[in-house]
Amino acid sequence: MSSTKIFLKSSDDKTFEIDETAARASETLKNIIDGGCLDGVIPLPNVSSNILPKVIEYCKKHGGDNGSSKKIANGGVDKDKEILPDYDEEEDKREKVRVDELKKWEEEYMDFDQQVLYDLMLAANYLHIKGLLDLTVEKAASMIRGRTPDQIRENFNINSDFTPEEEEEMILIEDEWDDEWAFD
Amino acid sequence: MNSSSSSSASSHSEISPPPIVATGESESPHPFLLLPNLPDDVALQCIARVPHFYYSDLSLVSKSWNSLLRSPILFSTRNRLNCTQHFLFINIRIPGSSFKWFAVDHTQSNPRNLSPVPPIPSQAIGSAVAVIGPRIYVIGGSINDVPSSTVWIFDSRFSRWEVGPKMRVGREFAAAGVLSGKIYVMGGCLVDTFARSTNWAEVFDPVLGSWAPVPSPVEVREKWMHGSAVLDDKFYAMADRGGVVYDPGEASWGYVSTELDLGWRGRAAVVDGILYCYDYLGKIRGYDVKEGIWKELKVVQKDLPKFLCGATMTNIGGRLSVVWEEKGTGNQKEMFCAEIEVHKDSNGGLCGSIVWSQLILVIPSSSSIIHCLAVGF
Repeated sequence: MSSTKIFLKSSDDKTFEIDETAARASETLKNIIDGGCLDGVIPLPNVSSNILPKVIEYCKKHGGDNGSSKKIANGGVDKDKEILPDYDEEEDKREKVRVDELKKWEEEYMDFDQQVLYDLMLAANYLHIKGLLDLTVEKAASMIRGRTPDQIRENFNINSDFTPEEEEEMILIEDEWDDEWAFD
Repeated sequence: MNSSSSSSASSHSEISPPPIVATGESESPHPFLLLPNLPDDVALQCIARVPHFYYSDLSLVSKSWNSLLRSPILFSTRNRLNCTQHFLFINIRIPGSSFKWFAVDHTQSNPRNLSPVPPIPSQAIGSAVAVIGPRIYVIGGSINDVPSSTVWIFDSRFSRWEVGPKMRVGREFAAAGVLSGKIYVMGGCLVDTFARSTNWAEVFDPVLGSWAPVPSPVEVREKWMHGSAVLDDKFYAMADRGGVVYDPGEASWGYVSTELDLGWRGRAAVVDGILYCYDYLGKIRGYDVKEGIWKELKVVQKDLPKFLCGATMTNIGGRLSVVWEEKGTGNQKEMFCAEIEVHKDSNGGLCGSIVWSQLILVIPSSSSIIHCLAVGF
């Protein structure tokens, strides 16, 4: 069955084509399609032509489901095991291959600079594409997790608004903690 | 989760362009955006994915971050995003009766760092522990050889110890476990008075914030407990000889089977309905209640030593986490941790594969691992 084509117009007036099944990965687009208000082209005033192809690429890959590899790996496999004690090992292997392949795809897909990351996050948020939002937000979170305050400020271009005195006081509280940690 | 999908469905009628998005209440106290060039609701999702564990560093980033980290919005977002993460908390006793607590972020990639956790203002010897949600309960123990009824509660989200409601009797080396969101404790006290007899077993309801006695037949009231576990909605308390099983649903008592009693050594953990502990040869074995037999856990890789000394284990997010000691250089011993994915093979045997395994801490050789717990927050 060939899928209906949908046309999306970026903020800078460029039109892109996407299959309806792929477009349904976006809650926002899905609602527009199901609402029957489809009038040829869907304008997306918050998504530029730089980023829209990247969004479409994601939607194509994920079609109907809008989960990420993580969701499948954590939720799917284990649950099945619980329900069926003699779970099919072949099926399990195929599932693993599928998850591995998806992970590899995500890794390549996510290889871009920070501006693209921001734009993708905003687009995924606006279009309600949960899997893509999870993926991009997780990448931003990895730039925070385990970093020093200085590294975080540098990564995100944040200016500290603490006065030197305030900062010193907060670091003192931190140090008290670290002392607890030493074996004496 | 249904709640998250319905909330996203209901909210997309209000698609508003960036940049200013109020997070929850309309009066946002933050003069600056959390992350420049990103609306705060998206930034909030990024920060919410970082475990609470790192918050002491995050609070130094800026004033808006600092106030976010103390706000309930952050916790509700973490909850909504299903970002609860499990941490392995390890309690060590060092000679001279001092105790230290550490936490390991087991999800982090190599090497996994141990972080210090503030100590309990005064930790007793032989306390029992239980975990409900983000809270660790350290129950009783003896202070100057007197069993105490004090309960300390650690809220992992705020890294803070507080005194909880006292038990009805003092206990040391009691058994504790969580069933249907309530903490059951039993034993660890003499039954020489009416009060101690009737309160031999107690239950704590965190909603009511109080302890209540659990009626028990006289013959099950053993004194000291060396192990406990919750298996199949029943509470198992192992005494020096034998052990008792309590079923809170039926309010019924029974004895632990000889097979289970003979194989149970040290601290046990339950994963997928199988009770794991290490046997006298230092191997990990699992007890299948339905079959009533012990099986050796066959671990595929060779990362585990032949003999696990002083092993403690726990269920961390559906995996078996094992902490053990090895001899270090000089006056020290090394503490190792391994996380094992366990499952049944087609013949019903227990198989495990090591997800990660590494040296996590070097401690003075006279110290010992007291507790190892998994906490999600």
